[in-house]
Amino acid sequence: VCGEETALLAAVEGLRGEARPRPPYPAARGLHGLPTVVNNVETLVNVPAILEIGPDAYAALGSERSRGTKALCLNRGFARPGIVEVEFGTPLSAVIEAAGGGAVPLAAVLLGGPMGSLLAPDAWDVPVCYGAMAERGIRLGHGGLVAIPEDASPAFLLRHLLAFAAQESCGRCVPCALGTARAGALAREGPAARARIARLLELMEQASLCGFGQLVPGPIRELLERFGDAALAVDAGP
Amino acid sequence: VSAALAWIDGRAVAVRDGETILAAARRAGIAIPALCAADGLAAEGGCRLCLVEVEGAARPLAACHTPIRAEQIVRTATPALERIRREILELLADERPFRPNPRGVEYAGLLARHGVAARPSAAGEVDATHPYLRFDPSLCIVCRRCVHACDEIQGQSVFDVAGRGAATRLLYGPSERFAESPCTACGACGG
Repeated sequence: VCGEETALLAAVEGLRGEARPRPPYPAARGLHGLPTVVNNVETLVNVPAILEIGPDAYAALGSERSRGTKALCLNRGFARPGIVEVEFGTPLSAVIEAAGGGAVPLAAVLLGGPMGSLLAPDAWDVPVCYGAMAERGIRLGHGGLVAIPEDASPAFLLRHLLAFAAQESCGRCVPCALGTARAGALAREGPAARARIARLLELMEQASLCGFGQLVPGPIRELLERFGDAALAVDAGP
Repeated sequence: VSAALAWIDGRAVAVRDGETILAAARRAGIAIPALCAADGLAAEGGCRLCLVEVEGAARPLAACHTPIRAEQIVRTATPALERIRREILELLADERPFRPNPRGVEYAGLLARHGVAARPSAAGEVDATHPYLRFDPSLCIVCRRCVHACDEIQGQSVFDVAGRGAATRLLYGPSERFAESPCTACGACGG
């Protein structure tokens, strides 16, 4: 969970990497109790470009609501994996096509990692743009793209996402620490557990201390909606 | 000059600078459940039982670490909040040990009030190495009040937690024996 800013600050202080209550926000009381600005490396990497080409030229790039460019990282499931930089506003489908599509036919892509969004091909027309994506309930997250092959087991993927969530949960708040573990156990009980898992996801989203527990339910719920009972098959397969 | 007011469950509460919603509510005699928060200790923000609805906020906010503000309209016991509390208590009751005991009346009372049945745990191995303090892990729900009390009142930092996620558990001293920890038997932890 140390990508979460308050957990990151705790880890930098040499303490357990746990999320802290907000407020106080790090900008008011952060590292060693002092006001702290936490920026993503990906944000700062834009600064040289802005200085080089000038703010007006930089702002001319991208879409109305998301200026500039975004780095996307395509995993090995695409024909041409790697990191690409695209102007905001570029349709996701164009990014996927430019990478040669999936190495094998794809059922979906997981955009933005385990706290992002699961997108089936019918949603790939969405532009890479925070505003346009937010309108459709899509989270761009860190901009990673993981290819989900057509023959992937939805149940395996569901268990993988829940295991990741349980492993990364810091243990401080009850909904996330205990909810991820409980949902992981329920995912092995077959389709009858669907309603109980849905309730836990809602609890985590509503009540968790930090963005990790609040966002982890997103792709899990999308997986359950997209693949139905197949995501809760008792035999998850390979 | 009239004092700035906030409204908690329809009741006018004077706003004091730096006070949390939880503290202001308690001062006004409005009970908000909380297992990790305790008077005089820094907010842990872990149990999430003190979530309240604040008008204009996109999601429920934890009363223990949200400052009270003038004109704020707070609701502490809506059906949605009560459902969240019941589900949190169900998780705790399922995943953490429980046995009726004199120190656990607050927790037992919350479970009972929300209609959550606890499954009693078996007695664990008790650390009785210290002349005044005993630690029974089979009664610990990892609320961490003791961690805060020892850090903030006595400054001994005897307690910490180990493990992550659901496996997080209380830790004390280098050998997990009170007799060998820096504990001074002050009793601030509730021991």
